[in-house]
Amino acid sequence: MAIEISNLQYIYMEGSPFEKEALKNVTLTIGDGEFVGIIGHTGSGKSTLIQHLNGLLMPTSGSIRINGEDITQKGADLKALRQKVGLVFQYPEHQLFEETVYKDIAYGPKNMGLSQEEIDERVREAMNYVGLSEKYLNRSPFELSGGQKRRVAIAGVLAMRPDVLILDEPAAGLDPAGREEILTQIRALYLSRKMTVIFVSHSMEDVARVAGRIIVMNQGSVALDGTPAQVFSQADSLRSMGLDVPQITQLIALLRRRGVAIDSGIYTIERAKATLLMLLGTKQENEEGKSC
Amino acid sequence: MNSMIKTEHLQFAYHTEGEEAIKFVLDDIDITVSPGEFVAVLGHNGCGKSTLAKQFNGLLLPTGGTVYIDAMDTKQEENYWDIRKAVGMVFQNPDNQIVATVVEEDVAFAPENLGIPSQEIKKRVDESLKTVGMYELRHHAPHLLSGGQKQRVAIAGAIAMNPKCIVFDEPTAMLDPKGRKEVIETILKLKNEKKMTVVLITHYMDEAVQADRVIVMDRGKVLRDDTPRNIFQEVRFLKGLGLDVPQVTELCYLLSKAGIPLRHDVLTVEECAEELMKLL
Repeated sequence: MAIEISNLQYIYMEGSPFEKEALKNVTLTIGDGEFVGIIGHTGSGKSTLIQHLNGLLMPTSGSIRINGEDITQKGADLKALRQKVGLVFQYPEHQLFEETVYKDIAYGPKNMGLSQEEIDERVREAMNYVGLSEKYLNRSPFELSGGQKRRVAIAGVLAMRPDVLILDEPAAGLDPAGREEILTQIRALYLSRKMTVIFVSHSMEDVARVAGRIIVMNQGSVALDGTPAQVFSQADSLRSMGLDVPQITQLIALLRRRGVAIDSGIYTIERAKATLLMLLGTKQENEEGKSC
Repeated sequence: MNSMIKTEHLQFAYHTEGEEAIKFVLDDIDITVSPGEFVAVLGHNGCGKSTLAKQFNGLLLPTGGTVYIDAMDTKQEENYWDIRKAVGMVFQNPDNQIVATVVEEDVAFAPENLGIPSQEIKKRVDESLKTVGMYELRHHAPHLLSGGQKQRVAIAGAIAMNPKCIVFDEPTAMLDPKGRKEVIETILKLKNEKKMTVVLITHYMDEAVQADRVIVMDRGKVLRDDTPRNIFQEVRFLKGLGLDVPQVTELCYLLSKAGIPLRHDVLTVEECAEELMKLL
């Protein structure tokens, strides 16, 4: 599902003393089947932006087209839109409310008016996607661990079979193993369902691991937009925007400043290791050459 | 000199009805924290580290063994007040810790409950807010502050009690990078300038690196208790526990495994660059 955003502007509490322009002139196209990471520090407008994508907020000006259809027009079918664009909020586990895991995940499909068989199939499918065993079906979601609760909440959105999945800080507050698990599952889900995924985070490391494209928001505008390598090569400007750059990116920037000829787009440990081994290898060869 | 915190064969089990086998959340823990020390506690979710933290000011009491806070046994009821005055706690979610509608009133809440004269309260509140860098915002409403600011108000509330020690239970888990930095800088200031004892429970390795000592927990037991430099060298051990190591530490570890003669106890980007520049 392609998303086209043009000249999007959003003003909070317009006309009041608290008026704030949260989005300024945002123009973006997100293609069908892309995995996009949106980063920016708190207040950069990233959450405001994603709330426009399923009609939770309506722009002050500008337009948003999803699959060619302008969702900001009067009379747009927002109910249908919200089934196609699934939004998982921050700390989604706080929204669990049902008595059992099954009922909680079934809530969306039930409201869609699906048959019992269809609901049942979707609940099991969604649980499978997030890696929750069926033995949890009749457990209370409140007795599960933090990571498991979050997966139940994500399954609740997946059960609607959305074409676009938007996740706001899905790994926030989890321990390293929990983060790893949820990132791996989102990646696997993306590959198997071939859906468009938009992943909002302030962790550059997490985004770099999963997304093919990164959009950096700053003060309500798009500051950078490109592949992870392109975005991470701008280490200094990222830091000036208050973002935490991965240690590897900081290291590469530091080495370059000290005159080492190394690719500025390296942001993973694996790439850094391979490149440094190559550099150190040629260095050793040169020295051997000299000593002959 | 007394230890600030000392545990002897500390055991703890939650009471579950109808279950025969007792599952120890804390199992035979012997640790000591000296006055003025900064100790980080690492471990994945469910390893018992928050349960341990709650033993440090008597929120939970041992089911076996003993916890001494400044030489006071936490199980002795007459020590409760003194222990809670000695050890302040700051938790993960700042929104759950703020009670008043004005920043300075929130900080004054605990000293007021201690029946301290109002002149003295005013002095403590002002000092605490200055320490955490929130004095300028003392008349603001806490709910309009950023996460990092709220957490600093919570810290000010803890230090207004004049504790000897503060226990932080994942204080940065819900904050953005900027808020995290503010809170960590405040913690370092408490240690360096106020000479407070700090226990920091965290999932962030870059925070643990700054501690004097790191304790690694798993399944209710202490597996390691050593300097950050010695702990983080054990890349495979930590990863096996579901914990991270700083990226540069992992990089040096991998490079040295590939035959590059590198120190693999580097902890910071600068140290790593320094090591690599020797070879490049």
